Amino acid sequence: MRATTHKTIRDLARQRGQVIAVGITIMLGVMLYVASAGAFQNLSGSYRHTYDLMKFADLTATGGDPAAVADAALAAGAATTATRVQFDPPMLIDGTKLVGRAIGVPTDARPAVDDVRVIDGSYLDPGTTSQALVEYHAAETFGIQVGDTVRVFGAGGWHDVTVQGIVRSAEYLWPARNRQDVISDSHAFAVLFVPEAAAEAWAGTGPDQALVLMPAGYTTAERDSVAAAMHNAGATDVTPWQEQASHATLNEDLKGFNEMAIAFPMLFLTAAGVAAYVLLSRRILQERPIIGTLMAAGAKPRRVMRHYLGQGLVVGGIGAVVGVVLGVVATGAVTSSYASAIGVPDVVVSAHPWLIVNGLAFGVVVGLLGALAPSLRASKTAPAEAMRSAAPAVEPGPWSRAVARWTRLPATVRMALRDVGRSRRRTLATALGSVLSLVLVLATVGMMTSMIEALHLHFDKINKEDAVVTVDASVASGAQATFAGLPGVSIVEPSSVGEVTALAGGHSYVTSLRGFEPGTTMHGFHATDGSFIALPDSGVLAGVGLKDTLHVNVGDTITLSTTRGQQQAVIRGFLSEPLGTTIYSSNAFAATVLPDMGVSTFVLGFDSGVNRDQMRNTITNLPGVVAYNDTKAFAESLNKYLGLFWVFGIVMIALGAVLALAIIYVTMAVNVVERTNELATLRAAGVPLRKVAGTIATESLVATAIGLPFGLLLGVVAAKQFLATFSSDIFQFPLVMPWWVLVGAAVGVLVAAGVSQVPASRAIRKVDVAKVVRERSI
Amino acid sequence: MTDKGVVLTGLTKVFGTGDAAVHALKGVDLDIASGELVVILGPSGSGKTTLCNIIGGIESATDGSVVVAGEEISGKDPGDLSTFRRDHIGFVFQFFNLIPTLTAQENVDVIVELADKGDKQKVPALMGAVGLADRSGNFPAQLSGGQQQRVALARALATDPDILLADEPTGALDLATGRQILGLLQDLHRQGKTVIIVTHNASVGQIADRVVTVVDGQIRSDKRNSKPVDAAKVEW
Repeated sequence: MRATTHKTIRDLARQRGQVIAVGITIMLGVMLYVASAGAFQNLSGSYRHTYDLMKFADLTATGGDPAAVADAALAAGAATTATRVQFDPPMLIDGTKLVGRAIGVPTDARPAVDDVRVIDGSYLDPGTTSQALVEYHAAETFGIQVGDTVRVFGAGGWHDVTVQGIVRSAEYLWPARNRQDVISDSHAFAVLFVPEAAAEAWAGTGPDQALVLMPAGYTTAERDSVAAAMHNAGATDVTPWQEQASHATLNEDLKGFNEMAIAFPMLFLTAAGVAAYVLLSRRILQERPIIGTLMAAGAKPRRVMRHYLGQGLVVGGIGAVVGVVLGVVATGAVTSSYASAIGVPDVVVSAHPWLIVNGLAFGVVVGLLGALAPSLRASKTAPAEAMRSAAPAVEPGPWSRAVARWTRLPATVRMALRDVGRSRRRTLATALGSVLSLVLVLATVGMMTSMIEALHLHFDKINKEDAVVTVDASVASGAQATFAGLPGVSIVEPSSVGEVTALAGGHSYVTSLRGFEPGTTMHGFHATDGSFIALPDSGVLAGVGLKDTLHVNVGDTITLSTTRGQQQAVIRGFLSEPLGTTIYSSNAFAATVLPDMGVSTFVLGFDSGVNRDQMRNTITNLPGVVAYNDTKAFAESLNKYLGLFWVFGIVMIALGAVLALAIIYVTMAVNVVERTNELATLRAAGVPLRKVAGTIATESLVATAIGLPFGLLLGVVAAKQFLATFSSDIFQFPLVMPWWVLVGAAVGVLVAAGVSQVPASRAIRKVDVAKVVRERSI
Repeated sequence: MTDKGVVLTGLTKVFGTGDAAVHALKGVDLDIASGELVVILGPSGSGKTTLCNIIGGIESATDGSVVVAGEEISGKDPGDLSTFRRDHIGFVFQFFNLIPTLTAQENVDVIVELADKGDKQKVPALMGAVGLADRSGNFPAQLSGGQQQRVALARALATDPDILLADEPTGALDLATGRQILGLLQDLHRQGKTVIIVTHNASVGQIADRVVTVVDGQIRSDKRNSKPVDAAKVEW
């Protein structure tokens, strides 16, 4: 083995504590990258695979004559089309009344588009009108078995259907009714696939949707061309698969992985690069006389540079290899746990060689970049100068001169403060460690606090009702009084809700229209400026997402289209709501837009402390009640959706602490080694270890504190940026960063800096005072 | 003289500028023939180390001509100076500057690797020549000061230089060990190497062919030594 290789190995072994700290930081960065990017690729691939297997519609059109729309799509280049009816009738499942979704499917063959996968039981018998397939989530929620009976409310009243099978559907991998209702009470939604003939009879209408599969390998231009043809054939809305509610919701979650795959690893790799730089700078400073001697003997500068670059390469390479191995293992684990939590039916875990190559390259490049400047400096060492003194004397700067005048401070404190400016690189590295840790922690915690606050806003201040109850028309007139008379019910207001397609300037958007009484106390209309405004008597209020989707402003007129026809409405204001982009109007206006489904809706407010399960049972069992939705019972869905996010957040906070510890430990260790002579001299003069360690700790904490304001600022900016990536018509999360988060994060970083003093103190204790003061050479 | 010697003409070296300027060397003229053993003697701050460094090409002259081993090196860029040192110069310093993580032999090997000159196969023989054949696997911390200086000497010889420059080679050693090092330098001289020793210790001059005394940046005297003594007999 070459002598230079021996030197590299032994040098690294001698500084193993710091080398391990740098290596771990690189390893974490690479592992995070490989695991998160790999999980993102796997999950995206899993969704795509599932969609292909289940013939998930590339385009779904509503409005117009679906048969004509489907024909137009075929003529424009679509591969396969189908039509069906879809409506949201009240259902009675296992004693629970809810507004579910009935989707028509053929009985003589499997659906050509938007097929289902039977996971229990069998597909519908040919010609049946009394069987149904239950979507997996509803079956899970209600414990439905094959052979059970469920009831569907439609034309002619309640209809009993027998469960023929439990199925998975690409349209409901995430059981979202629509883009406005992605997180709700799991007992308030169920999807049944019923015979098309029965569905049309219960809905009192023919097919209302056209489904399109594009040829394999189609281009965006080809898809747009087919969509345009469908619009021209009378479709009011054509939704590509990317915007379908289930996929869009899951995709928002996946975005987190994608963001994480780049941003968070970069924080670790930057920190590792800085730590490697500090570490090697110190070694080269320490070896100046040796380098000078070697250079005097004719060592080639390029070879010297290559030697020290090699040390960075080794640390980066080992960190990268371990990171890649752990990352690959973690990829499978993250993919499986996420897929299991969400219930993705077809999980594709595949190798991503380019991720491994990238991960290795990141580690190696970080090691090399960290080593580059010190190696260059080593290769330019002037031999004579290197041997005159261990390090060139530095003129005291303004900071040192200022501190020298603070004579009231103890000399040890002045020394600590002055040392902050003595090695600017080391101070900057420590401060940078503090900045990067804060960015990591605040970006994570900021997202968590913002989401919690947004959900609090959405479910407590905006949707203030406790329950939404649907009754059939026969009891509608007396329902309000009936509900009001129930113990525990404090407020009852008539309401209305239905699906509409909003149209303006050639753009369309499928959403919900919700009607309330003017002056309602059951809904807060949260304006974009943060204030709460009143529901106008005429016109509508709309979620701010509509502004960009339809390219409209306050005062513009939009068209609201339903199976009943079209109605014009003036936009009176935009609302900032965390979940969904809903349109609101008075009940009177909604009644002119929404089709008559033979039901009426009421929103109820409860007294505090009421037993919600008991209330659900009481109201559900009232005559004429066809659906009950507890709007506060979203926790289960929410935890499922955000469950992995919380785990991720906690892991990130822990990693932030590791990052802070690693970089501050490295800089501290370097500090102690660089100052071995003066520390030994202090100890030789009888200064207690506690005081010497205290001086170093003071310097470290001051350097860490210097980074705090920058870290807090950048952390807030980073959190805002992360949240902005989640911003869409489905989610709007303004940044909420409580003061205690900022204080807590700052204190946490200072504590991490404090903890990193423990090994530094140990190193000071280990200094052989006699040896150091006796020897000048290393 | 042959082309392996040293010719300095009007050599001047100034450190700093203006009021802070320090004239380390003031128009030094000096010829050293190939194969000579010359001791450059002078008190601290006299400019002797600067003179040694300029001859070795690790410091540049402010003015004057420096011809070493037949090459004019004043005005050469750092890269050319590095090549020049590799081809012609070996340095030994007061402080051994050994790499603590490498064994004695590896400390010699490393310069062969980094300079791309010399033969690692010959290093064991070199270790034997400096009397460390049995200690070549020891780390610097396991060697005495004299042994460490021998390693430094072997390292200086690894590239087979024409001229060996030794700056206070006995400065960190006791008398007995110092004598051993001087003996090795004397042996090299006897083998035909040009050896230049820089020291403040006048006794070292006893082993030299010639003693050049430098005071205040100028050559005060340049004396031939008709009867150099054996290093083992040097006293101080």
